Amino acid sequence: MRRNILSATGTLFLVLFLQSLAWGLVKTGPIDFTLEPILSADWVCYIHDQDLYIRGVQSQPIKIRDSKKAGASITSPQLIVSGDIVFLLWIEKGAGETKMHCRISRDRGKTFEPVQFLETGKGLASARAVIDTKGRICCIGLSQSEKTPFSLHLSLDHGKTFKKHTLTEDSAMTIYNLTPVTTDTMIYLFYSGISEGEKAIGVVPFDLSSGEFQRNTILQETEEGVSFQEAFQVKNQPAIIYKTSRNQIYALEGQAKISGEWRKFTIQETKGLDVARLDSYVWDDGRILAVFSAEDRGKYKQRIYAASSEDSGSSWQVQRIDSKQFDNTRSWLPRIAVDGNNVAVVWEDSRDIRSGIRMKISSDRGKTWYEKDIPVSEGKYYAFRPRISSVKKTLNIAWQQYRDDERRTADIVIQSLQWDKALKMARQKEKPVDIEKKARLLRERVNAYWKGMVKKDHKVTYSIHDPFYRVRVPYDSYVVHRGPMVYKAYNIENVRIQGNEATVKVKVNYEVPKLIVLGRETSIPLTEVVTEDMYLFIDGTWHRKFVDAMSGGSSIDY
Amino acid sequence: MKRRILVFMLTFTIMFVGIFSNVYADTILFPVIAVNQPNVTTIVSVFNRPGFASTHLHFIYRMKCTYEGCAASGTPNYEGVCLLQSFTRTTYNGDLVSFDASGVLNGGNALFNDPNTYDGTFHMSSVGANRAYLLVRNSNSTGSPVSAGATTALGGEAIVMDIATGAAWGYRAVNDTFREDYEFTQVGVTTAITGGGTNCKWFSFFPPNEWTTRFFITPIGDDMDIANLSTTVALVNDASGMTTTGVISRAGSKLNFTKPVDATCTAGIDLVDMMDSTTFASIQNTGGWAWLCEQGVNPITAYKLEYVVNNPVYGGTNNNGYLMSIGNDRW
Repeated sequence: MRRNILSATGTLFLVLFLQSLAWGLVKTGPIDFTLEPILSADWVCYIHDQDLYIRGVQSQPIKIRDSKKAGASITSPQLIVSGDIVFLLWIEKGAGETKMHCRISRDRGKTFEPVQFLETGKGLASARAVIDTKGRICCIGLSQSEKTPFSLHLSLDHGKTFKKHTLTEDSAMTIYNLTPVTTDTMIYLFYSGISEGEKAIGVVPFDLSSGEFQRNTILQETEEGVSFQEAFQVKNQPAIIYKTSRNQIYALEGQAKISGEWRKFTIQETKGLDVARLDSYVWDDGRILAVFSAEDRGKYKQRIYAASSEDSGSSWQVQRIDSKQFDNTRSWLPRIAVDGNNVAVVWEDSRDIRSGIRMKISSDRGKTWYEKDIPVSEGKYYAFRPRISSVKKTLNIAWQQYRDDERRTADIVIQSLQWDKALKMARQKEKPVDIEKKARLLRERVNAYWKGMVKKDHKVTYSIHDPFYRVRVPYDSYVVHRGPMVYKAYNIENVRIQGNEATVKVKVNYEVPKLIVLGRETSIPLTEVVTEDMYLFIDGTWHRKFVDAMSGGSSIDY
Repeated sequence: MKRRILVFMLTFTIMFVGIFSNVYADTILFPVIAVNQPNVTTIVSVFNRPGFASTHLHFIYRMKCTYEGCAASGTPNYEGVCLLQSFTRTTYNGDLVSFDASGVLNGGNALFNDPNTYDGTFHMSSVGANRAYLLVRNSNSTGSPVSAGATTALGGEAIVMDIATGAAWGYRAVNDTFREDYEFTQVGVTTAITGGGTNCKWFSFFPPNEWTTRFFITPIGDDMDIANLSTTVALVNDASGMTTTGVISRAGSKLNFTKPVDATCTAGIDLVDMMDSTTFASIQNTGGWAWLCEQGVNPITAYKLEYVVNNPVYGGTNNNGYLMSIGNDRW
């Protein structure tokens, strides 16, 4: 027996050891989790204790900017790692004025040059940065000013000096979102907002050789607004995909510049779907692969899709790539990384109720996908907002992770994984779920809960509540708020399981011998009601989901 | 000529009597009645003004299922139509009657040692989780309207409460001083958001990741005793024209989307159902603010409920509701 235990323990350590070889992991924090992770190559950027930091997979955290010294709060950080260049851009919001600063390292983060001031302005709202393959650095300050909606700081000498160019519009222009795309000769500044009095998506080209803005072009009037936009270049020509709606029906539309003309396209299969976000990759031969999450409200929650086009967006092939077993839980916000023909997509996945990071692999540029949705993060932590990059045959995945189920404090985690290991994982079969065992276990737990309610065994009923509720409501508080009901009997009427969520109808007999309502004593005679409870399969067993009867609120959203 | 005069006088008399026969048949509206046995109930109190009482009060519940899956079709909560339940009960000069709309407390009979006798219970006949609005009107013993002699003969209050935890929020009944026949207008109610999207109310919301924010919306208009009035509500992020749908993040960025939500009869609409998934992802951990606009044809009464599970940062469990459709932020 002892030998068996030792053998099992040894095997477990071996598995963990082998796993640690496959996955290189660093964790740092606590971080400001309202700012989504920023990953470039194998570096992440984050706010810790209000200060701006970066760290690499193989390096310690480096403080880039001290907010107290700056006398301002740091927002909208941007990080771009290109070759040996590590470039950061950010906004500092101080009392009365807002500034845009940048900082650069030319030796992959070993040393950093001093902070460079770029501009100041009350209306400065956010920053964008882009570096092209020739090392030209472009920093954009997005302003709330209608007359000068943005400014562009261009460096043609690898960030040593910047020259400011300001777009001044004769007519008022309000920009909600702006995405720059560089080609050999131009920077295309795609925007959504209000131009010439119309809600529109448009583009302002900037000529890199003359250093001048060209005419603002409205690409499409979007009466019902634009939720997000994703811009890229296809064969050195600019293109954009954006989410809008027509007659209150969502659509993913786009524009691509082909032979000097802007050509509109629509991804027809997404019509009516509420797409949360989109990420994309374009190969040198012009193949576009876009991954996005979308839902059909009332039918299924956010799911993961891949859409590909070989003709600059004129036609698209769309497919669902995640498991269809879990349509009642959210899988969303996918990100993509590519190495040759290999594609990895990561997303935030709530199939296990406690959100985790999952990954899907394709080895043929997204035409087909391995069946397995590879779990990336540890199941015991709530993990969210993943990013992914590929550097020298290594995948780097960054995400945020709460320290416990109270979800108050979060760290940023970065994991590195060799591509060949990722492919090996993708080929492994998943252990099938024993549905009968799961259903049996559910009835056991429901019976245990209601037996506990009848016997007033609060320890049992408390332990069956979901962990997100228990971490917030201590046992003593739970007992105090049990209410005056005396449960006499129960009967399970109906059980329905979908994925890791179950709906259970129970007929309950209860009475309230004594009840004080608004200062008056009253009672409730023996009454029969049918209650509908939700149970969640978390950490290998079923838990009763706490739902506030009055507001419908609970401790977990998935 | 005599005949013409007679016809005119007859017509005038009918119009005069017609108008004034309704003027003082006062009606009050409880826009939000929520029940979910065994925990949630709504304690309703109705009182009438001394000297302006009728012999009876006519009660009309317009009710529907709170959750999906309890009705044959449609979305019961948002777009589902309401059923009607009505009854007439005795009242007295200056009387106050309180009752539990769910019928759990004291079987739906008058509460709090009421010295008066009534000819029946006051609760909704439905079982399970239900939402409703309630109309109460001066009437005779058959339920027909009678004049009580004042435009504000009736008053009322309601408390929506969880009897297990003690959480509660409340409101005053709505009394339209200009209309008495189951008709409620934005002018008479003075606390409604006007139909047509030109009158919106701004509000803030906490991070949806932690807080549940819900709007209790009841469209008002003609024939509320039988009609299933509908409305469309949306969030707006631009005060100029109130047409740019979206919200504004805590950092001040405008987030745009199109997400109107239709509601019929009465509805509890989750804030997150009023925004698209892109926006939800952006403000999930921070919250933001917006204007709540009515974009249909009927004005609405709107209450906002905020809830958070026991959280020491916010002083424990919070369950707060207030009347949104009031204030001076009209546009």
